[in-house]
Formats: sequence, structure tokens, C-alpha cells
Amino acid sequence: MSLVDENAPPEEQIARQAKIIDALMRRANRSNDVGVSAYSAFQSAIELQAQVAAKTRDLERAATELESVRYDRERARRTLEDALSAMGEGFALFTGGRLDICNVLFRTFLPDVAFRVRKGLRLEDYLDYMMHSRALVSTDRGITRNFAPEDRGGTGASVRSVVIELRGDRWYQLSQQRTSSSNVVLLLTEITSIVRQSRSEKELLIDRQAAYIQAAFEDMTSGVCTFSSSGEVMMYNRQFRQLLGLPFTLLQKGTTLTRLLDFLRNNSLVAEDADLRVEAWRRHLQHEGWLRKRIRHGTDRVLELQVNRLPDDGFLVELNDVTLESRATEILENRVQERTAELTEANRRLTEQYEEKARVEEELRLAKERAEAAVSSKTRFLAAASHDLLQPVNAAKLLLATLKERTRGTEFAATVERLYGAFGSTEQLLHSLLDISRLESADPSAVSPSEISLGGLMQGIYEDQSALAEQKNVRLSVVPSDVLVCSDPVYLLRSIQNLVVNAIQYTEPGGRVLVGCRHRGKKVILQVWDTGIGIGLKDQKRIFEEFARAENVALASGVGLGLSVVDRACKLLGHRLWVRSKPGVGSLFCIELDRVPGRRVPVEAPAVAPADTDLELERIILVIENDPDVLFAMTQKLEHWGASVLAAPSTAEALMHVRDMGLAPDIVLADYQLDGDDTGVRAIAEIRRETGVHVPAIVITADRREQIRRLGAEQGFTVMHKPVQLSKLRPLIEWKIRWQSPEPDTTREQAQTKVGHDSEAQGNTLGAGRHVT
Amino acid sequence: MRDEDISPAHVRVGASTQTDTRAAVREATACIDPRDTCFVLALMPQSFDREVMAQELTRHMDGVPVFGCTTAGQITAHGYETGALQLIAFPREHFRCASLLIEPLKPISITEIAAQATRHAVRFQRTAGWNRLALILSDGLSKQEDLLISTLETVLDDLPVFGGSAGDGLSFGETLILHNGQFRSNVALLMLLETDLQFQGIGFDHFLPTDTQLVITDADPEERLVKEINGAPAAQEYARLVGCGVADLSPQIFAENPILVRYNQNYYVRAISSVKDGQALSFLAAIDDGVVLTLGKGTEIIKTLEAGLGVSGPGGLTPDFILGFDCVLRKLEIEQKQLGGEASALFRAHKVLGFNTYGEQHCGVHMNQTFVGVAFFDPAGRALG
Repeated sequence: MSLVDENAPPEEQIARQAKIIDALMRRANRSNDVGVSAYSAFQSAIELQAQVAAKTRDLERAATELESVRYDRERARRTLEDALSAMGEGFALFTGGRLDICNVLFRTFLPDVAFRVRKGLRLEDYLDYMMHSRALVSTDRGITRNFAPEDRGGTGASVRSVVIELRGDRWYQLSQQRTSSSNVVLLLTEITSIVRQSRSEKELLIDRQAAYIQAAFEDMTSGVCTFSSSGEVMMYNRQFRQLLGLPFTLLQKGTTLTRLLDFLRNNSLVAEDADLRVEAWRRHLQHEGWLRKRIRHGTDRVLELQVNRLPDDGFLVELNDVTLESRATEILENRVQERTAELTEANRRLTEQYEEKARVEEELRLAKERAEAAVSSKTRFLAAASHDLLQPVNAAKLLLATLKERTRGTEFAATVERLYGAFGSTEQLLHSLLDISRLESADPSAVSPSEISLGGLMQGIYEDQSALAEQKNVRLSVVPSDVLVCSDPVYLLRSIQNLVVNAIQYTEPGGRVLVGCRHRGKKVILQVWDTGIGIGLKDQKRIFEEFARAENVALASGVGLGLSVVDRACKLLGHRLWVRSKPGVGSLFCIELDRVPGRRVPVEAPAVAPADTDLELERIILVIENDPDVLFAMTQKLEHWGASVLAAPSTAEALMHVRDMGLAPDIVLADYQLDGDDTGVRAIAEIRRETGVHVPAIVITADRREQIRRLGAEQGFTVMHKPVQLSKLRPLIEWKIRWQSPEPDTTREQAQTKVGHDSEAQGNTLGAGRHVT
Repeated sequence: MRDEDISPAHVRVGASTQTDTRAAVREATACIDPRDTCFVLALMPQSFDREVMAQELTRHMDGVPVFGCTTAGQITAHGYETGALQLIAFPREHFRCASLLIEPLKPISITEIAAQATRHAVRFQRTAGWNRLALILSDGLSKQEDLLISTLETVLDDLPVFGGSAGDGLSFGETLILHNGQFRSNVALLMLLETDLQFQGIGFDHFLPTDTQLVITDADPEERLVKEINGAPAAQEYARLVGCGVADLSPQIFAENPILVRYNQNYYVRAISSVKDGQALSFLAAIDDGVVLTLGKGTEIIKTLEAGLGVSGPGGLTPDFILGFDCVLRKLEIEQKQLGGEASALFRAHKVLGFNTYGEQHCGVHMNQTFVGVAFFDPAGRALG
């Protein structure tokens, strides 16, 4: 069969055959050349395959041949190699410090040093290559130090291992085991899956913890945010973002603290710029480990900020909204301030008021002083006026008494009688005024309590006032008593006298006035009963006031100073005074007195016979009186009574009379207060010394001071108060002369007061001698 | 339906026949979880917008490497497809991968390729108990596969290399390799794989030599161009030998009448891609001046396919899936003979996934009109258990 198309022309066929031969020749020649052509590559690949197949066959044949010779060893080695290859671990046996056998895994363990891993490689060289391999990332221990072959000469089952990390997150454990003195086995075990699994478990655990912490964070009421040491946000809760009003996009993991603060500053969310000084915070945090601040957030919120350092030098920020708390505190503080201000103001006002009060008090004190001074001067004036008024009244009465005698039985008798009565009233008023003024001066020395026989006192009053009672046709009676009381005789007498006069005055004719006393334990109550017009309940208080009168009293009955004097005297003496009354029935006035226990005074009968008044008083009487009117009136009266009167205005003139006469007078009547420092007391003393006789003497004075009476008691004279009651004076004169008793005696004095109750009715023949009062 | 057809246990497959690039990517990636995936092999026709394709794949696969190429047809879970986007996701659980882009292919530098491949293989971490192999995808029109595969086979001495040349339908215009989010021509992509699955290589064709021999009398080996056969213009002489007119020459004719080269008692197919200038024949594999060729004759293609795919692994395991590199001329012949349905059924039955190539590489040889495949079985431990 021909290659060439047989249908072609013969010459063409020849040409083609020539071409074929030529091509085949070229091909044949070229087959000896070394060339790289595609076809030759194809050929060589096929040849290679054939060669490989042939060599394999050869090897197999050789192996078969060798098998009988080295059967055991080869099998062992093959078994070892198979075992090594089948091992999932890299294996290398170093004999005498040099690599004897290793498996593929060991060889290719480190790709970049794989070509160096050949039989005979020294162990330390391999370790050195390993340490410098690019595939090696890290080991957990120094390999060369731990695996140096010479450091262990002994055998022992010493196993050491190192964990090796390779690129691509692959992990191996390299173990070295010395199996005999010269053999060292290195084992490479892949532990990637274990490492990864433990890592993923750890990550899972961390994730879970993170989730747990995040959940815990979210549940907290305060805003919490942690920052890394470089100031980046690590973890935060919703509350934190809301409290600060941070946008979602800003508050992310990794956001820096500076950015947060910039945001707060730019949005004016924090009031003071100083609160945002990170560096200051840091320093404080470094130093103290914590930081606490109260910041104003926005317009009206207050946040409390607590920063604590974390173990990794990061820090934890905790935020609490304390707006309400701080607002409450503010309100409280404001309230306290308001209260304080109020108190201060009140205090100021009180101080002002106090000062005002003190000022008023001072003014009042001054006013009181002025008033007191005024009252005092008024009282003194009143006393002086009363005293001075009494003198002319005294004189007038003496003259009127004389005139009454002279006009008896004439047509002037009634007029003189009226005139005399009018002067009597005037005199009584003046006495009352004098009493009041003296009581008002409230001088403790004005009263001198002593033991007083109440019975005697009452009897005296009876004798004094029975005439008045008779005149008014009122029956006056006294219940005798032997009791002794402690009081001032003068004021007590005056008080009872006033009560009795008052009772007589307001009792209709035919009525009755009774004076007596009752015992009440240690007390004695003096009572004055009347059947008068009575006093209404509302008037019972007023009646003790000056010039007060009960409503049912006719205006014409005169001013009532009497009860006022009683009231004042009782207060001064400490006696209780009260009244019980019923209009139209009568009144009861009571004075409670302290009784002097044990002692009694026998009731005396009236000693002086009224018959004496009809006899001439034939005695020499020395009257010493500096007032010429009074002296004249006294002299007239005494001469009318029949006495010889030596009238003298002073001590000196009295002494002259005594010397002229050559003997002592029967009695001396002396005024206490004379011109200058001359007194009646002195005159009496001089006369007694001149005559050598203890001449009886009576001192007549308007001065009611106790000291004069005391003086009288010491020097032996009797004191009579102006205006002189003539009815008393005459019996006293006669009594004194008759008894010649130079010693003063209270009983005698009292007895003396019991006489002369009808003095007005006595004729008086006393000449117009110098008569001193 | 597809799930019934084929369901490999150890890889995930996604495919879409959508013509819109985005929709196709969305559909094909729907059932692939990037988190479990070690890498994805993407096989597609030229018809898609390649920039969009690259972007969308990168986006959907979330950083998981996507390797791939344009093809002359896809073998999906359906069987033969021509316009489908086919994705095969290799899970981390069973695969580790290290890729190396070899660029440029032309002009080729054998020493450079050898050095790169060696380094790459050494660096590729070895896992105890896992098996290693290499896959190669190359520009199907670079005409450099012969040198490339023979070099790789030489330097990767303990790694079997399987591969296919990228295709361009039946256009023979441009073939592209997808790597690192970019489609490139004039490159090859070497993928070193480590897997705990067991695997077995497959390679077969369906031709027998005839008595008709021919001699290349003028050729341009660099361009795989044969100008004269038996001293006569190549196309004319080929047409005469197969019994047709020059004008009738077509891929179908080439597919049915391949030319074989005999070497060391074995015949290797040299496929013709086209007629050039009305006289010359362009081949898909290496040729040379003065080479004696034998005209081949097809046998029953379905039967050979069924026999070829019927492999069994250690312990009689049937493959979990077969990664197949099937020459486009085979598909052409099958379709010509109306056997597409039968072939697809066989592919489904044997869980074949792959594409139609412009050339197949196996055992260091670049071939045509063959089926090259890798059958993957369950892991050894599991098989024994």
C-alpha cells in the first residue's frame, strides 16, 4: 500500500514520495539532536514513562533479588518506614547526634528547610534550622536550650516537649525522647485542632462572660462605661448613653474618651469646662485610684460621676442622676437660709423692741421719778399746807368757843354755833388731809406698832363721838373688851374713829351704831355695825377711794376722806379691812388685828367727874406759843376758865416770867415748834431746871411724829395734838396739876383721854395769857 | 431533580443555566456555604460578562478562592450542558489547596516553571494520612500544554497531574483562566491538592488504528500546523484519506477521523482543530515534520465511555464523584450520533462533573479526543470502617 495518492500523476507521485523520504530522513537525523520542541517533549514524556516503568520493573526485580539476602532487615525497615509513614506524627531518629531516619511528615514539617533534612543531619543543626525557619512563629520554650543533645549524657526516660506554632495557625508539639545512650527520637505531633478548640472554647467562654457582664451592665440603674488604658470605650450600657445624651453613632466600642468629651463640650452638655479636663482626671486617677465629681449636665440635671481604675489600667465610669437629690438639698438649704434670715430679722426686731422697751422703761422710770417727786412734793406741800391751815383754824375755834360763851342767850348764839360747827368740819377735813398725806409719804417710821388696849380705845371713841350721835339722834354703843392688840395707837384710833363717824353720818335718826370686837384665834376683828342706808355691791370697793361716795348718798353731805384714811392706815399697818353691806339695811365694817396673847386690861370706869367743869380753874399756867393769834386765843380761853395765865412766845420770855414771879407755875402748856431752833420741849426743860421743880407740862403740836411722844415719855410731859380739843384740855390740866406726877404714863394718858368729853359745854374763865401751843 | 441525578457527598455543586451573569452567579452560589469551602472550581462558557462574573463570584464566595476557566461545554449534574455556569465547591473538611499561576505560557520558560513548581510543591504543607495530587488548567489555545505538562510531570515527581485545556465552545477564539478574581489568557493554573479522600486517575479514548498511515512532510511545529501530508497539501490529502472533499472538512469529520501517533507501542490521538488557508491543518497537540501518523477509526463511543467510567476504588468502592476533562471533539461526535442523552445518563450515573476541553493532560502527556478524569472515593479510614 502506498502512502501517496495513486490517482495522482506519476511524476507527482514521485515528487511526493521524494518529499516523504526527505521528511523521514530529516526526522531520523533530528532524533539524535538535543532539542526542546513540543513534539520532543511529548516523546520524552512518553519515554520517561517507559523508563520509569522499566526502572520500576528493574527495582522490583532487584528488590526481589535482595529480598532473600536482607530479608529480615529490609522487612523490619520497611515495616518501620510504613509505620512511620502511617504515623500521624512526624518522626525522626537521631543516632549519635545525627539523623538516621525520618518520615515525610517530619521532613516536610518546615518546608523551607525540608531540603536540608537528610540523613546525617546533626540534631543541633536541625534545631538551629528550625529556630531560623520562616514557617516558625513561636515556641513556648527555647528549643536549643532544652534539646541540646550534649546536656544529657545519661539515658533515662527523659521526655521533653515544646509547643511550636507555625504559620497559618498550625500547632505542633515537639517531643524529644532519649531511647538509649546514643539514640534520640524527635516526635512532632500536630495539636492544631486541640489548640483551636481550646481557644474557641476560651473565646466562647469570654464571649459568654462578656455577654453576662453586658447583661449585668444593662440591668444597672446607673450609667456604666468602661474604658481601656488608652481611653477607648470598651463596654457601656444604655443608661450611660441616655444619661449623657450621646448619639448611637458616637458611643461605640473604640470611641475615645477625648471624642466623647469633645462632643459634650461642643454641645454644651456639661456646664463647667473644667469638668472635662481629661489630664487632670488621669492624674487624680493615677494618684488616688478613684475620682468622684458632681457635674451639671445640660440645663437642669446634676450627675454624679464616679471613676474607678481597673486592674488593666483602664477605668470604669459610673454615672448617677442625682438631680432630684441635689434639688432637694438646694431647696433645704434655701429653706434653712430663709429661716435663718427670718430668725435674724425677728431677732433684730426683738432687739429693737427690747431697746424701745428699755427706752420706754427708762422714760417711765424718769416719769415715775418725776411723778414721785411731784407726788412727794405735793404730799409735803399738802402736809405743810394742812399744818399751816390748822393753826388759824385752831385759833379761830378757840376764839369761837369764847364767843359762844359770850353770846349765849343772845340773838347771835345760833350763828356762832353754826360758825363753830363749820370750823369743826374744816378742822376735821384738815386732819384727814394731814393723815392722808402722812400715810402717803409711806415712811415706815410713821407708824410705831405697840400694844394697845382695844377696850380703852373704843371707850375713848365712844366718849368723843357720843355727843355727835346724840345730836343726830343715833344710839351709839360700845361692847367692852379687855383684849390687847398690836397696832399703831394713833392710826388705829383715827381709823376706828372715822368708821364710827362715818357710820353715824350715814345712819338716819333713830338708827343704831354698835362698836365691838370678836376673837378669831390669834386675831381680833373689830366691827362697826350700823343700821344706815347701806352700800350697793358695786360701791363697796369705791367707797375707800378719796372723795368717793355711794350712789345713795346725798351730795350735800360733804366730801368723804374718812374711809380713804381708814383704808390707807390699814394697809400701812397690815390690817385687813372689809365691808359687808346691804342697801336699806345697814353696813358692817371690819378690821382684823393681831391679838397680843395672854395679857388683859381691866375695864376702867370713867374716872373724871364732869362736875369739875363748873369750878374755877385757879391755877398759874405758863403758855408758850410763838403764834400770837393762837397765844391770844389760848390765853382768852384759859382766863375764861379762871386761870392766871403767863403768856410767852419763847423759852427766854417764859424763863423771864418765871424769874419775875419767883416761883414755878402750876403747869406749862408749850407749843413744840417755836421760832428758830427753840422748842417747847426745851422750854419745859429750862423751866424745870430754873425752878428746880418738875413742873407738869403738856406739849401741844400739829406734828404727829412718834419721836415727840417718845420724847414726852422720856422727859415727863404729855403730848396733845392740834387743834386742841378744849373738852380734853381742861380735864388734863386739872388731872396733871392734881396728881403732880412728873413721869409720863400711858395709863394716865389713856385716862386723860377719857375726860373732857363735854368740853364744849364747859365755861372757860382762862384769861388771855400767853398761851403756847 | 438535579439532586436526584447526582449527589456527591464530599463536594458541593452549584449550576445555573441563566444567561444573565449576576442571576447565574446568584443561583449557582445559592447552595454553597463559603465558610465550609476550601476553594471553588468554576466552569463556564465564554458567553458571560467576565468582569461581572469575576466580581460577583468573589463577592458571593466571600473571599474563598475561585479558580476556573472558560470551556467548550460543561458536564453538570445533568450531563452535557453548553451554556451553564458550573461551580464545584471543595470543602475544607476534605481538601487543602495551594494554587500557582504560571504566566506567561508563551514564550515558555521550562526552567522557570520547573523552579516555581518545585518551590510551590515543597511549601505545600503535608498532612499526615492525606493524599496529594495536582490539577492543571491551561489556556487551550496557547499550544504550550505539551511542554508544560511534561515539565510538571518531571518536577512534581510524587504528584500525579491531571488537567484540561480551557475551551471556547467551538470558536477556537480565546480561552481564559480565572484566578484571583481575574480572567487571563496565556496562563496556566496549577492547583496542588491535598485530600483525605482516596482517588484514582482515569484516561481513555475510543479509537483504534487503521492500516492507513501518513507522513507529515511539511509542518510548523511551533504552531502545530501541518502544511503537507505525504508530500501533498495537508487538507487535501486528509480529505482524500477520509474520503471526502476538502470543502466538507468540519469538526465533525475531524472528530470521527482522528489521527494517531504511535510511540512505544501506544497510539496517541492528534486532533485536528481546523483547516488553515484551505491547505494546512491545525492540530490541537504536538506534531513534527517527518512524523509517521496513523489514521484512527472510532469504536462504539458509549461503550468505551461506560467501560472507562466504571472504575472501582480500593475495596470495591464506587466513586463519590469523578472530576472529568472531556475533549470537545468527543462531545461533538456523540452529539453527531445523537448519543447525547445516553452519554449524559452515563455521566449522571457515574457522578461525573467537569467540562469539555481543548486538550487533556494526564501522565505528563497532552492529548486530544480523550476523557481524562480523577475518581474520588470515600476517605480510607471511613472506607475501612
